[in-house]
Amino acid sequence: MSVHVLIVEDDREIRNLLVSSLRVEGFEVSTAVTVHEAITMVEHSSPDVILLDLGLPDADGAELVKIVRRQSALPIIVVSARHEEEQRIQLLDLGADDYLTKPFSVAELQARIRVAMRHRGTALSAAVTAYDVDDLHVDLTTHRITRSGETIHLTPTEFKLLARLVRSAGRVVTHRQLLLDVWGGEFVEHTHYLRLYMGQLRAKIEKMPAQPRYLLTETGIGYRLADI
Amino acid sequence: MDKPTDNPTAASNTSNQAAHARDWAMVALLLSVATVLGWYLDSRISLTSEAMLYVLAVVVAAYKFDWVKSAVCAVAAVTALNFFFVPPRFTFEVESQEHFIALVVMLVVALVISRLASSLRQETQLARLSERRAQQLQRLASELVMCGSVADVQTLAQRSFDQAFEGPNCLILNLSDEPLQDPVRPEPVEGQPLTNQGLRPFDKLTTGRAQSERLRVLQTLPNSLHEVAESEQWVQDGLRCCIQEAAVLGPGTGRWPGIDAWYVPLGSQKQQVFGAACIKPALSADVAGREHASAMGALVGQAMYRLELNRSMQQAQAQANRQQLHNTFLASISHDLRTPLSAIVGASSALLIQGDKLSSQERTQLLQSIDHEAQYLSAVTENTLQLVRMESAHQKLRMDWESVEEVVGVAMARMGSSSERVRLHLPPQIPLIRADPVLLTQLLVNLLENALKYSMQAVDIDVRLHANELELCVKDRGPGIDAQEQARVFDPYVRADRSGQRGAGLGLAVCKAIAQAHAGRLVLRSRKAGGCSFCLYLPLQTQQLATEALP
Repeated sequence: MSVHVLIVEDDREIRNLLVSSLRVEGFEVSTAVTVHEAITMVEHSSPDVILLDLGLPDADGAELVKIVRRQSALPIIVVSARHEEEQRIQLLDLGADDYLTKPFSVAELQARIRVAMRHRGTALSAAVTAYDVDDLHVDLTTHRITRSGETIHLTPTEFKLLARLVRSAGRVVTHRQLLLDVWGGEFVEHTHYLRLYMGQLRAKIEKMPAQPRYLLTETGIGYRLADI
Repeated sequence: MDKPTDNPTAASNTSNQAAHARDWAMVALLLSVATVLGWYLDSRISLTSEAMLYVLAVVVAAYKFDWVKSAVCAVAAVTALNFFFVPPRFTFEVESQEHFIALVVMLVVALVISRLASSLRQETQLARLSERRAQQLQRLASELVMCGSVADVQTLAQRSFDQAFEGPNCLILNLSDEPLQDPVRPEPVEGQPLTNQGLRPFDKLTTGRAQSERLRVLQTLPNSLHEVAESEQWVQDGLRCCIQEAAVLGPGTGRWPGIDAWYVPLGSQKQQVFGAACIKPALSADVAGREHASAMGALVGQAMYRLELNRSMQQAQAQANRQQLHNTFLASISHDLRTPLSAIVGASSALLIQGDKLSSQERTQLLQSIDHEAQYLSAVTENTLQLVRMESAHQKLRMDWESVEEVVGVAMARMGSSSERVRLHLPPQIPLIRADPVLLTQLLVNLLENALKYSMQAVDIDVRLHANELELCVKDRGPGIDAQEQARVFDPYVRADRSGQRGAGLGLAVCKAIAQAHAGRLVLRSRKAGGCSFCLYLPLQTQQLATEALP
C-alpha cells in the first residue's frame, strides 16, 4: 500500500511541484489550501504524513498540530521560511515531528518523509532501542555504546541525552524536549546544560567534534541524530 | 548701587536697611562738617559764605542720596544755619527781616538743587542700566551663536534672565515639532520666597507624564504645598498661553495685567515661538525692563530658529542620503537578481522547448545551472532580508547560551564540499557565549563564502580567547583588499571586488550589523603574506555559569 501524504500549502506553484515530485516517487498525494480544509481532510481521508506550510491564510498551523495530536501520532512535517523560527519551534514543541526550511530540495523532502514514516506509531515510546550508523553502535537495552568496536563510557546524563536522540533518530528534537526529557520540567530554560553535555558527548563519540558526523546541530532549534 | 545687578530693586531688605542708616549718618556728617567749618572760620567770613558751606553740603547730599534724604538735608541745613549763625545765635529766632528772606531763599534753592541733582542721578542710573542691558543683549546674541543644542540655549537663556531680573524666572523651550516640555526653574536660592524651598517644582527635562504624576502626588500633601502646586499650575498655564498668543503678557501690556509676572514669548510672530519665559518682578511702569525681557526673548527665539533650520537641513540631507542608498540598493539588487534569473529562464525554456533534442548530458548541465543559480538567488535574498530586518530596529535577537564549536560546525556543514579547504584551529574548553545562533552562523557563513570565493588556497578559522573577549578570525590568501577600500567594504552595496565575481555587496554589511547587534566588533586586516583576515570580537560574559553543579 502506498504512503498517503497530505500537503497543506496555499501557494499553487509550490503545491503543484510537491504533488508531482511526490507522485513520481509513488506517494499517494492529496492537498489542502487552508487549515480548516486540512482538518476536514485528516478526519475523512486519514493520511499517513502531513506536510504543513507555515503562514497559511486562515489560521495558525498550531491549531492543526494540536487537533491532530489529540487524536493520533500522525507524523507532521513543518515547512517554513528561515525567519519563521519562533513559530517553527512552537509547532515542534507542540508535537510536530520535523521541519524543512525553504528552499529545500526534493531529496531532502523525501528523506524527511521516510524518517517520519519510520517513527510512525513509535513516538517517544521505547520501541527504538538500537542505533547503528557507520561504525557507531548504540544498544539502549544493554547500555552498550561502541565505536569501531571500542567501548565508549558515558555518564548517566550523557547516556540519557544520547538515548533520547536515538529514540528519535533522524528527527529533530528541540532544546525544550531534550531538557524536559533528560533533566526535567524545571530545567527547560537551561540550554547551557545542553550545550555543555552535547560538547562532552561529541568529544566522546565524534572523530572530529567540531565537524560532527552523528550529533548534528539544528541552529536555534535543537539537535538531530544522523540516521544515514 | 551695592549689588552688581542691573536691577534697581535688587538689594535685599536687610542690606537696604543698613544702606539707609549709613546714608542718614552721611547726611548728618555732611551737616556737621559744614557747621564745624563755619564755626572755625566764623571770625574771617561773613554769614553769606557760611550759608554757601551749607549749600555745598546740600549739593553733595543731593547728588549722593535720594530725593527724601536730600530734601531733609536741605531743611536741616537751613535750620542749622539759623540756629548756629543767624543772630541771635543758638535760638531759632530771626532778628532781621533780611536774614529771614535769605533763609527762605536758601531753603528754596537747597530744595531745588536736591530735586535737580536727584533726577540727574536717576537719569545717570537709567543710562547706565540701559547701557548694561544693551551690553547684555549683545553678549547674549554672541553667546547664542555658539549654542549647538536646545539644552545649551536653555541654560544660557536661564542664566541671562536670572542676571537681568530678580526672579524666580523660569522658561520652557522646544523645537516646533517636539512635545512641549515642562518649564525649567532654577534651584531655590536663599532669600527667595519660602514656597520655593525644599521643593523643585519643575525638574529639568521631565516628561509631561512625570509632571502630572508629581502634581497628583502634591495634591495629597498638606495645604501649603497644595498652594505651591497651584502656583506652578499658574506659571504653566501662563507659559502655554504666552506661546499660543505669541505676545508678552502681564502688567503694563494690557493682557493679563493683574498677574505678578511677565510672560515673554521666545521667538517672534514672523518666525515661530519656540517657548516662553516667566519673568519676575514685573512692574507695569517698568517699560524698559519689559522691553529688555522681550528683546532677550526675541534673541533666544532667533537662536532656536537657527537650530531648527539646521535640524531640518540635516534631516533633508539624511533623507537624501537614504534615498541615494535606496536607489543604489535597488540598482545593485536588481542587477544581481537579473543575471541569475536570466540564466534560469534561459535554461528552463531550453529544457521546455528543446528538451527532446538535447542529449542527457546537456540536459543535466542545464538543470545544474538552474539549480546553481537558484541557490545563489536564495543566498542573496537571505542576506537582503536579513539586512532589512537588522536595520528595521525591531529585530529582536534570540539570545541563548551557544557553543562556538557548534556554530563553527554548522557554518562548515553549510559550506558543503568546499569546507575541505577550511582548517579549524579551536582551543579546548571555549566558554559558552551569549548569542543569536542563527545570526552568528550567518555571519560566519558569509565570511567563509567570501574567503572561499576569493582564495583558492586553504582558509583558516582561528578562535582565540582573550581576557574578556573571544576572537574568531577567518583568514584567506586571496588577492586582499586595498587599504583605501578597507573602510568601505562594510557599507551596504559596496564591493571592493573588481575581478568580475558576482555579489551584491551585502554580505559584509550583514556581518557588521550582526557583530554590532552582539555588542561585538568586526575588524578587517591585511595579512603580511597576502590575503586578508576578518576577525570578530565578542564580549565574554564575566558571570560564570555554575557548570560543576550540573544535575
